[in-house]
Amino acid sequence: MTIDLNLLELAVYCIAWATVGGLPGFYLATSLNRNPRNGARIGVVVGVLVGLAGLLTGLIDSPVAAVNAVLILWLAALLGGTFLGAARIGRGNYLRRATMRQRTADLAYGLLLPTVLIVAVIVIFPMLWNSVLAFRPIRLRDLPDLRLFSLDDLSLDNFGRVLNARGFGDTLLRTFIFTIFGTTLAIILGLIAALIMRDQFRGRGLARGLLLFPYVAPVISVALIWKMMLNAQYGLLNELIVGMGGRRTDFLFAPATAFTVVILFQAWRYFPFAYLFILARIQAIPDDLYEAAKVDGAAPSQRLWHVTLPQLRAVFGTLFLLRFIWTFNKFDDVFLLTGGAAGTQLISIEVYDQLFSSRNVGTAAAVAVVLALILMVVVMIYFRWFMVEEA
Amino acid sequence: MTNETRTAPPPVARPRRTPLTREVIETRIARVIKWFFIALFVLMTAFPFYWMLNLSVRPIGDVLQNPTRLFPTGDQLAHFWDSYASVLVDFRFLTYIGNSLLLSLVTVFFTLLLAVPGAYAVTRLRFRGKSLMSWGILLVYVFPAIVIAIPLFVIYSKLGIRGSLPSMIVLYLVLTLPVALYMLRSYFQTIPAELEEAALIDGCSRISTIWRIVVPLSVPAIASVALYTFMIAWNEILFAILFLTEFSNSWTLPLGLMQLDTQEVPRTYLMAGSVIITVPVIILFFAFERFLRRGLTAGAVKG
Repeated sequence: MTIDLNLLELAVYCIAWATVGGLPGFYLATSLNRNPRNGARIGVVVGVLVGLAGLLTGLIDSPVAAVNAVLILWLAALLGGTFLGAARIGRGNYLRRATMRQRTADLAYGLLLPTVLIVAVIVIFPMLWNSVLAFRPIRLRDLPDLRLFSLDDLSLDNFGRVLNARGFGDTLLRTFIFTIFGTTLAIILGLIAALIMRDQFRGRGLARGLLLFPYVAPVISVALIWKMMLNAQYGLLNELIVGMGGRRTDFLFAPATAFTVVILFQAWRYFPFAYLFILARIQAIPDDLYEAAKVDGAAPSQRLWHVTLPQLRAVFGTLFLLRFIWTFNKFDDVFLLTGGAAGTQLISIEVYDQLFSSRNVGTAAAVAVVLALILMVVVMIYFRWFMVEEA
Repeated sequence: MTNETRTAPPPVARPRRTPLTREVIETRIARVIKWFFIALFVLMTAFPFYWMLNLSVRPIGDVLQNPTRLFPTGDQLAHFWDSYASVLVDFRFLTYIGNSLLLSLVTVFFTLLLAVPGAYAVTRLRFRGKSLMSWGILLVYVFPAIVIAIPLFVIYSKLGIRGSLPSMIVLYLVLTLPVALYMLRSYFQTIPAELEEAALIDGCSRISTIWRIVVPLSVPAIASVALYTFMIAWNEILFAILFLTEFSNSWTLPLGLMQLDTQEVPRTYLMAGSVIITVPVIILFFAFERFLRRGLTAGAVKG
């Protein structure tokens, strides 16, 4: 069986094999006391040759065969390296000839190479490729016969479909509101928590641990507890409300309350993050400042307002940025609570829905691109604003 | 900051009675507020977990009849194991525990294997592209997982490796590596470089210096990174939902629990499942809290 590849696919194929060969080449050369950069270069050539040979001979005719070929190549490099090293054959004198600077840098590359590769393959490449997918008409059912890398069928249709879809504007706006309120509330709760945990009191150690529970517990279990407590039939909250003469509400499925609840959930689950940051900063404020303020006759509230809070400005800035980014693309919390129903649809859930409900890979990628773009713009505006203000 | 307290005349000797200055009044009010909030926060954070335990031992009929019963009856407590046994065996939680444990432990192993040398290189060694690396760590740290999910889903489907646990490890590594690198880097910066330099002058190679000097000195940091990595992998659900849902043999604990959340499954089992998944995390957390606090501030368990 022969595989016909277009030029782009061939390029990606060769790059993949170059990486596959370069990695062991680097370490093989290092273990033989030879220049690892040359080793990597030779490895790249060998890798590409192996890949092409496999393709031409038809030995590599499926993804599984390719994966096996990679494993065989790496195993061969490992065994060969071990053998040559043990037999002391082919050793060079790199350590003697290279400069200190060169050796240090090579060592650093050697230590970082696997990490960088994993990140490149699993994060950077998919991020870039996602923006290509967003321009292609791909449905889930097309996947088996899909040309992975192709630039022939690019169009703006996916974006047109996504942006013109009814409710997408609402989803965007809702995501912003969700993020801003969720972030702000979490930081405010975190500030209060940090202030009360600052001074020693009986049981503080235990309380400090308890406060982190929402944050470290698995999201699925806390989401389930909330669902149970907010349930319309037997939820504790409803029983208390009915007991006090109120009306029974299905909090997570009534449009009037569901959105508020998911925001409160965000605040509840992530305030410990803010609390830890703020507490660490508060404890670093020198006592002299408070003493001086006290001498000046500042009452506790004034010390809080004029001493503590100004010292926390930078922390608030960092926290807001981090939490904003993470809340904006947060998927699992709201997905597990409501699944995006009852007016709680967010962009990240929209990505999921496009992929699995509409079964459309292209539009899902397009929504993801929109999400990433908005996030980038927001972060850029934030930095600009922050820098200007700080200057 | 002028203030009335300064101009107020000092109170004449009235023994054992503090004058009601603004300072005193506010301090008293603050104390009341403080205790109110302490109670509120403790209730807010601890009660849901207590309630989870409570509901996990009470049959659903009882929950429906007495929704507000705060303490399970003795009889219910005596049979508390029923729901757990059912979840573990009938709902295949033992399999999921095995999957989750395997995935988490292997992720921890590879994270440490990659992050300790990586963090060392970024802190101690000079090379071109060093600042790029530092920035890169930060960037990868904040990247939205949902954006890379679609292409990965496509590639994994095409390669036919979707649904296999080993293929998930690579995904989990991307979640844990930035956190681990970040935490270890900030820890290595606190270790004085003189120790290593002495070893290097004595003829130790860099690798053995890392192994003999840096690693032993960083045991607390490495322990907390290991714990965090474990927690991240153990709690992870986004990638599990996207990549494993159709492959019930590969379900992790969170995914298995999510799949239990249907009309047909009694809520008691659901809560028992929640307890099973939460307890290891809480135990680990309390056992190593001292190590962990530091790491948490370094932004671990990103979410």
